[in-house]
Amino acid sequence: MQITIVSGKGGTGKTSLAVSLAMTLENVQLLDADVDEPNCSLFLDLDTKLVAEAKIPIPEINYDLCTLCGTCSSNCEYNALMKVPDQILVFEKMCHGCGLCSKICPENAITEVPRTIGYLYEGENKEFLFNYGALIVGEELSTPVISQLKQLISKDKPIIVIDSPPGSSCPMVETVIDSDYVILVSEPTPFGLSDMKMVVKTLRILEKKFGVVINKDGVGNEELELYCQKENIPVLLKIPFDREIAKNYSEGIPFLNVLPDMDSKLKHMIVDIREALQ
Amino acid sequence: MNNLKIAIPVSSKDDNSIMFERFGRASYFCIFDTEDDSSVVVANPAVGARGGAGPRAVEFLSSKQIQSVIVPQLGPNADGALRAAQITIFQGESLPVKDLIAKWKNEELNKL
Repeated sequence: MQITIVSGKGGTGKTSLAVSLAMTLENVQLLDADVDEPNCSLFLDLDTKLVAEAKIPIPEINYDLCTLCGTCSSNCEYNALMKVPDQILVFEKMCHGCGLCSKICPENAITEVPRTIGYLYEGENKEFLFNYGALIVGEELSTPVISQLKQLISKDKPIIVIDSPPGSSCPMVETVIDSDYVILVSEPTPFGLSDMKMVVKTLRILEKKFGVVINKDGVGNEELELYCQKENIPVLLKIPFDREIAKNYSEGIPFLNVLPDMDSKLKHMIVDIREALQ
Repeated sequence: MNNLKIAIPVSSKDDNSIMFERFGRASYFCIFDTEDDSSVVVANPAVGARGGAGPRAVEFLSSKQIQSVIVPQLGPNADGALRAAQITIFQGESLPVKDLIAKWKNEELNKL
């Protein structure tokens, strides 16, 4: 079972929940797919090592064959190629690695060469397997790093917990696309609700089963819960707005270890999710 | 002086508009031809590009046989593209196109 934790707004508690949830489970794999800023490892007491590089293919022009016809540059969806009088310029960071140029070049003058844009790491502690991806600083494309990170999903683990990037754009879609269930963490503020609505819309288009965890319960207003009622979205769990949680968070201790009843609440949540999936 | 075509980014088709403060995202380019002191305003096909508007605009100008541009600040991609296209870059300022052309003729603009 693959469960992904998403949010609309950043800073609502995806990582806190992902780490706490994974820690309550046995024989689990935790994946930190927030590759722009992976931080699950701050809460985990294990060593990680580099296991792979995330790469995308980019075009290389063979000028023995290139006739400067411009077919490649005029068809590049991402404006990564540009024709000037005596060469084809390749803007590496604009390239999404789609490979179209190499396929449509009438002279077969384009080959694809790999370019490293991120790194994939792994750590293990007994039955707890942890992987994360890290986009290289200055790079822009997190989606390919996420898809390559997902190739490290273990077939031997009965349950996989994935920490998604915030928002509702391509990186989040790539993270949830093959998940069985999605947990949407939100905070009960107008900002949290507004961003959450966009994620709900996205998840419905993707036909994903999902439920909501309300974090920082007690701040803001009732609007979030009323919205969930109206939209028939199950509220799986509420995590209180609590100074002790914040204090421990700042020291790398997840809320699981702060609130004594959280272990059983999280286990119950998994039971509820299993039921929802049947 | 040889016949030269110079492009300046502008935001409207007005005869005497002021240079737009962005290059690749300008709605139009005013193209001035030294052969007969004429100018035409053409739409910039890169204005709505998702990304890479600068290089796409340079490709367009290169296809129009532009030899020089008078520009505001440039991003690194547009800058590299202009140099690769062997287009000479002059630093402009927020002035009407006519005034910039006059300054360019008097060699008062800095080459970048």
